[in-house]
Amino acid sequence: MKNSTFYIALFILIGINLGCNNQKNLPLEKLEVISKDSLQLNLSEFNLDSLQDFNVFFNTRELSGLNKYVDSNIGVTILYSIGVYPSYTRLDSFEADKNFYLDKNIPFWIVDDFTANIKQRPQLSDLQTSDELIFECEEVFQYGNFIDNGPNKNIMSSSIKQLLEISDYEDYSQDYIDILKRDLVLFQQLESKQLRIVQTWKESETGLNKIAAYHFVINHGKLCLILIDFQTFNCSV
Amino acid sequence: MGNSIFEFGEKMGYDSPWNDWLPSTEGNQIVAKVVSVQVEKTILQTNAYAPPTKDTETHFRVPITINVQITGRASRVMLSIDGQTGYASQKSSDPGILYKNFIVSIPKSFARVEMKNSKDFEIKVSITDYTTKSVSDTRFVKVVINSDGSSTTSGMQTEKEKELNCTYSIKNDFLVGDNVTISRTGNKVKTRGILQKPVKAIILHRTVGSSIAGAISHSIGTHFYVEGGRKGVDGEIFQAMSLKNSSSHILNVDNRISHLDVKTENAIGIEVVGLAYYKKNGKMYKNFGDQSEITELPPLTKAYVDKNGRENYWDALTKAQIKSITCLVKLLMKEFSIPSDMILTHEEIQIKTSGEGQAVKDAIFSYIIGDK
Repeated sequence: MKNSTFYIALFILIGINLGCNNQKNLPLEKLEVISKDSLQLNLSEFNLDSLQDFNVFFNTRELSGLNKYVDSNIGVTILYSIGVYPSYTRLDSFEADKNFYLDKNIPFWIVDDFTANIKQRPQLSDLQTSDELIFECEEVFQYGNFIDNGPNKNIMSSSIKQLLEISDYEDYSQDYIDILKRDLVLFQQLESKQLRIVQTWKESETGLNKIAAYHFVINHGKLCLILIDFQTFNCSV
Repeated sequence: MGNSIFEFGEKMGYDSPWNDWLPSTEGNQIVAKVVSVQVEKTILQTNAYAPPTKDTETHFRVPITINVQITGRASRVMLSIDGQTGYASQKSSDPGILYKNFIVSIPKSFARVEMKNSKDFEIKVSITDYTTKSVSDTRFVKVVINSDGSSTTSGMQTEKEKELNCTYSIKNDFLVGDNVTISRTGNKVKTRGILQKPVKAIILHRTVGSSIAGAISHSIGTHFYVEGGRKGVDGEIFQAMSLKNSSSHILNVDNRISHLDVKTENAIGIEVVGLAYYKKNGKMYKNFGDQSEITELPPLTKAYVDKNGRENYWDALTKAQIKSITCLVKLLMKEFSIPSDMILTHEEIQIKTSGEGQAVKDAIFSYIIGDK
């Protein structure tokens, strides 16, 4: 869900650390984002401990720790929609100031979700792999923590493709089209080696289904958060 | 139509027993409304005021009775039928009822329509405050002369209704009418099961896009899409799915702020093509695509200010959009017995960009509620 506590701590603490989190149990691979086969990720060796730390940073609002997961070259992309089409905004880091996000035109209801009261998320243990549909809109088909190999794993590149497909209708400038094409190449490279982690759980207080989805890659041997996905939860147009 | 002459009794008003009527003054405006227009069933074919000028002409003389409801202090109004003016007055000597409603009947002897050759015609009845000359009400009535010489009327229309001239209907759960397209081609809209009855609400959305074509190929929800002025046919309505089914256009739980009984399964969504903008530091920016600054502004709505103080603007609706949406909404209200207070905006029920649906509602609502 958009107001998932997963995202809340992102906006609370100030701190920028341009490196990504060390992924100790994985071979250090040098990442050339645009070059083919530059990203390597062996899922069987994926270090769950690092994800647990990441989870803790969210739950404890420790942005300084969280920013360690943001690669300044790749950034972290916030994917959402305000109408029928996807939109995205890329951040170099997370900051505490709400106006920082509003100034980047991230919709206030998403920023509000970030800053809502924290409710404890479940721990990222017992990570499962799923090729099945875990959720759709607000309906959750499976509860737990998943490496999502379903169709939504390519949500970012498919969203950019949508934007390119409508470029004729929307009279996008050539500069913007070039940016979209550049980002499409970038995300296609990233998606080929990424982890899409989806958490689904039922909040004990409200009984509501909650969903969090985020994408990681391993860059220079470090775990990097590259995408927070608000798009696939949202069946509102 | 139009080949007709209308006439009032020449002494109407001047014969009124209330010659000391009080003029309306500021703050005491007369509000008058045409309640009914009745046409005398007997057609006087040979007793027209103006005799036929040609052997081929036939003149009919149709006495009509107009009932006018007048609200306000001692009232006198001008009544006109296609520009010919008469007077209607009402006054009570009892101050205690001065502000009550009055019904004035303009008797058939005072208002007649004379027409040449036509078997059907339309009369326009306007009521004007005698003092301020402001028009209180205008109604259009269609009259049909039947083969047996009797005549019947077919209801009254307000000016807005006549301007709209809605012709849509629903057959087999699909909209029928000019400017309506129904197709699944390129349509990504998904159903969410059967549309649950009773249908609770109509939800107004904005695409934040320039065309139906782009929207339906990427949108997951809403039954209807209404084209704008940039691409395609302005005002065209595209129906993406049967009204038997529900669509996916609002969240049922998350970020909901009102009308929690309204679900995506029991509400009909209408997407209106249009773009969004916002103002920052005195400059206007697109709220879509590259989000660049715009210097040549299209026709915009007023500012809709969100809780963070940001001014959001939207493409102003075109006349064709207003007509299509109004006719569609009125038809859906009638078809599913949806009251006007359940025409809701997306942002009324779920946290969204301010003005998204409100800009649509603001454009159509006077047409929706103004025809009572």
